Amino acid sequence: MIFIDTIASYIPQNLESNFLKKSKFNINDRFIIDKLGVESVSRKAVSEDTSEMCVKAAESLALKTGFPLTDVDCLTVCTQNPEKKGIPHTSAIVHGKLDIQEECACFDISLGCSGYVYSLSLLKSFMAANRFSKGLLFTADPYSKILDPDDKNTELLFGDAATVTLLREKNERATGWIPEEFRFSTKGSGGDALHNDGEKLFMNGRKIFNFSLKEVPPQIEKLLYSRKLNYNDIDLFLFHQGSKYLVDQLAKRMKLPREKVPIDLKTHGNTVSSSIPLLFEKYIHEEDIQTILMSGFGVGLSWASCLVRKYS
Amino acid sequence: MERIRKKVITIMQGVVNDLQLDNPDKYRMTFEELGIDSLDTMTIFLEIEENFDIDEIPEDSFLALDTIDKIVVYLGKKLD
Repeated sequence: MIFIDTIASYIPQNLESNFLKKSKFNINDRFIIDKLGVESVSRKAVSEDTSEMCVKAAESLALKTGFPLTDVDCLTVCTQNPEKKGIPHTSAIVHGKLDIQEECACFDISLGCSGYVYSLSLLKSFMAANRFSKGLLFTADPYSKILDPDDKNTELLFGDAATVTLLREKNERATGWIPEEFRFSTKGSGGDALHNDGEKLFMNGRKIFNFSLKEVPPQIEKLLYSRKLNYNDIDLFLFHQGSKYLVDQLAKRMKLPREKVPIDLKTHGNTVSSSIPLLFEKYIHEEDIQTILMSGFGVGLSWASCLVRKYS
Repeated sequence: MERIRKKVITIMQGVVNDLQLDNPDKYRMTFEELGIDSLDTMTIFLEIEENFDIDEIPEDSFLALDTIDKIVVYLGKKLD
């Protein structure tokens, strides 16, 4: 059985204040605080690329756990903004920089906001199928590489970050989280709502908003129904942090108690596939939290949900 | 039309807290003039589509429907 052991992260220290962009985009404090929920966005240094962000997240993991990273069996990076336009794959670059043993499988996963949930399932299955005992799942999607600074829809929202999740084979002494059930969906016909036009990111906010509110709740309900669970059985709902408003509306539609739906994008913004693991990292060791439902949605259009349970 | 207007107003007041629509002059004011931001506007339209059971309002119509009166006329034709 493969389980989630620990999560670590890296958020660039350079924060761009959205309050300084109020007049440029004709918005006010209330819109920034209550609606976007993003007061500043994290921006990587120009010289810092995707692999470097992963390495910094890995260094944080090593500091946190003392776990020897050099002997992992597999490593994957979930990104749609890879280094060197994807050749070689960013996971291989990270492998080199971390000086990991050669007997290590490395591959990238090209997904956006649903990427963490997909990647969890992929890496879990891949490790089980190959009898691997240690794997690293990175998320790093520095959208600042493709943002149009004059586009209000994206410039105020997206921030840079990287996370790493350590997956391990369960043993008697270990404690952690087991991903138990997944659901995946795609609506490729809607993909133009959030795409890279070759130069810059384009987002039709209304399309993404409608898609998220219409499609995510039924998927979660189906997942829970299949496990004979209901909302009351879930301690925490970790939604992709698209914007505060979007998460608020999802919670409202699903009639979820607000305390079960955390929001965390105030200082760094929407970090795409990193948003769920950044949240998860905050709660992973909380004793009262035993069952988590996570759901990512966006680019694709793609949406994916997962039930994870703590065991000890 | 009056029934549609009432329903639209109820939807809008359900989305935007403290939205005062007591004066009919406000039916001709734009959402921006009523202090409704772009995110609340998206929610209002989503709620309208669902409550009136109509397909997603196309982008060009969506952008043009910026007052209560225009929405009511649009829905009147759509539901006719």
